[in-house]
Amino acid sequence: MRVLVVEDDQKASDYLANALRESGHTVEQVADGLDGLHLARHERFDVLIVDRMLPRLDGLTLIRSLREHQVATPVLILSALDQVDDRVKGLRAGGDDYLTKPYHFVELLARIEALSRRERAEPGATRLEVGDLALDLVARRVTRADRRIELTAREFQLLEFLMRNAGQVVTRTMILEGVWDYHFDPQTNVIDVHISRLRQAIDRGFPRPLLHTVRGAGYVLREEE
Amino acid sequence: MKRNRFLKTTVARIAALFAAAFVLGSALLLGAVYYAASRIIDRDIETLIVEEGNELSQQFVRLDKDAFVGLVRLRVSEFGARDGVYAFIGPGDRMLAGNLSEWPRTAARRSGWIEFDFRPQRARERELHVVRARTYELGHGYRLLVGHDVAEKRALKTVIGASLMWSVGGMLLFAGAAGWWLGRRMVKQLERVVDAVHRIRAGDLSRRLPLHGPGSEIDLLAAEFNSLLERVEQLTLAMRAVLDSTAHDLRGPLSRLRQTLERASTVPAVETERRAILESALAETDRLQAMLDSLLRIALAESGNVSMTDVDLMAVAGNVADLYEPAAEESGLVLDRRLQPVPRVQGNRQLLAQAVANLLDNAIKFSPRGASIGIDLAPQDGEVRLTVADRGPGIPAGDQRRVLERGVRLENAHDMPGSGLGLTLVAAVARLHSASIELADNRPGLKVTVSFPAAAALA
Repeated sequence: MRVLVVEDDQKASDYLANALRESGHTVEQVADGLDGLHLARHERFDVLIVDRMLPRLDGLTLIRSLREHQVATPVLILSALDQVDDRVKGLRAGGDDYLTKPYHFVELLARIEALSRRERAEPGATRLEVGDLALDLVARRVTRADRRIELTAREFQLLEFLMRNAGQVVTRTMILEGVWDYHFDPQTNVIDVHISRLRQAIDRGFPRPLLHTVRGAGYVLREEE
Repeated sequence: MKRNRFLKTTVARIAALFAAAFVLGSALLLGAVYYAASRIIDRDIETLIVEEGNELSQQFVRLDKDAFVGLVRLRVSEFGARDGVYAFIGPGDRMLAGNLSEWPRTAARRSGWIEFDFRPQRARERELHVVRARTYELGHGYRLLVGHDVAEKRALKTVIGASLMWSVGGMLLFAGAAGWWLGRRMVKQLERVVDAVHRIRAGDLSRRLPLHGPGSEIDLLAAEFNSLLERVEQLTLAMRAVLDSTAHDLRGPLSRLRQTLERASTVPAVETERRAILESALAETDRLQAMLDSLLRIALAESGNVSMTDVDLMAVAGNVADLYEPAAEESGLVLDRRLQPVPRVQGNRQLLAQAVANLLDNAIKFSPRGASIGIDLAPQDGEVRLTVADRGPGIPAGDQRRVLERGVRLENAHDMPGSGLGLTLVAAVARLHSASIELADNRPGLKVTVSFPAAAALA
């Protein structure tokens, strides 16, 4: 993946760039908003990581100008501001996701990977499939190997979220945001319990599990080779 | 200094303004009265003079000179004491009859109206009188003057002048006294207020402005100011307490973090051990971060600078209950929901959800296995009441207020995970939504009730 990091804190930017390179991504770094806008408009990136406070051109204005110039590259906003309304402002300006500093790198990685995939996903799909697991969004039916699986409404939503991000690591906060639309850290293992219940429902009795735990990061739904 | 301050008060200015307005008004009124009255007097006097003058002029033609002198003398003796003034002079300006010592210098040669000063011969009167008179040219050097002392008009002038003076004086005195009294009262009240403000500014947040009884404008202002102070004191104390206890609570994870990192840097550990050490250090930083996040949220809720929308509390409570139900069941607890439809409240969905989450989180943490946790939502007495009740150890009645107002952790909670700011955040969110929060004994356990003003919030 080709990633543009627009961050004026040099140390933070270097740390982020190195970690991204170690994860196998190509990274460009710029330290101010105008350079960021210029580069993002004239070169192709899969994801932009934009700090909210930038010299010369602040992050939100940068994103707004990009969108005005029809550049649709997904943007992850980084911000030290964690006020409930800041997230809304960030997303309204055209950002695709919002992450508060200090963040866990795995969280950031999971989010930009989800963002880069979002572009390729078909939004109009009525049927999602991972291996022999199928989810019918219209009939609200889940089957695995043609066997009907009964899920609660909440479990259905959770599975839909995981299937839309199939093959990607999703973190607990991503799940809380995606399924419940809550932006706080629940601190306890509430999400883990939901996952383990879902796992019971879809994986029990099948030789190859689909729902995997990624240590220190979150979960991933995929067919293991 | 004090005098100066009084003169500068609004009351003093108003008193002066009113006094000036009254004085001007009464001067205008009395002036009009004087003008009208003197016009009437003038007209009466002139009619009198003209009648008398015409009569005498005709007599002059009919009578011979000596008889006319006799007539004028008769008139003088008859009317001289009653303000009548006569003079009859012959050729060479010789005074032939009359009660004037000499022909007035201002008198015209020909006939016409004059006004002159005149000193009556009556012994006691020393001041000059004004006489209005008409002179008649009788021919052959004879001239006649018929006049009238306008003492009446003068008296009127004096009376009106005197009343003007009295009223002006009285008005000034009254306005001054009233202004002085009111102003002094106000200055005194304000001085007490200013004094109180000085003390408050110096840091005595518990001080309140003095009130002087119902109704006064300064009191209304002071009462408003006092309720503002109440809030400021509350917030300041709360923030101070949160800061204190946070600084205290941050020490724990920080010192553990330090020890962990110290060990990692000194002990020549094997790779797996090093990894374990680093992971525990990361866990400590996470705990620090969670605590700071909670503090930021509390600060946000306290600031009131949050966007509010119509929120369906039943949906919020239901969603959060959904979120926590599996975790509760995993801990062997039953989540007993009794959620009724309620009117919407003005609120921030995220903060409300976090408040409910904190309540359920606590309830799950502290309840013994097999217990049930109640979450109730119902409209009651025009309020929307949300209750979360657990069967844990509860909070002693003496500590209940303290737990809400300060970020304190009770002794038995110190080994529990979490920032210890959960209830503080709930209280801050409640305050943001003008909701009241109440902790009660659930016999056994803790029962937290948050009451939202439903109708009022939507009105």
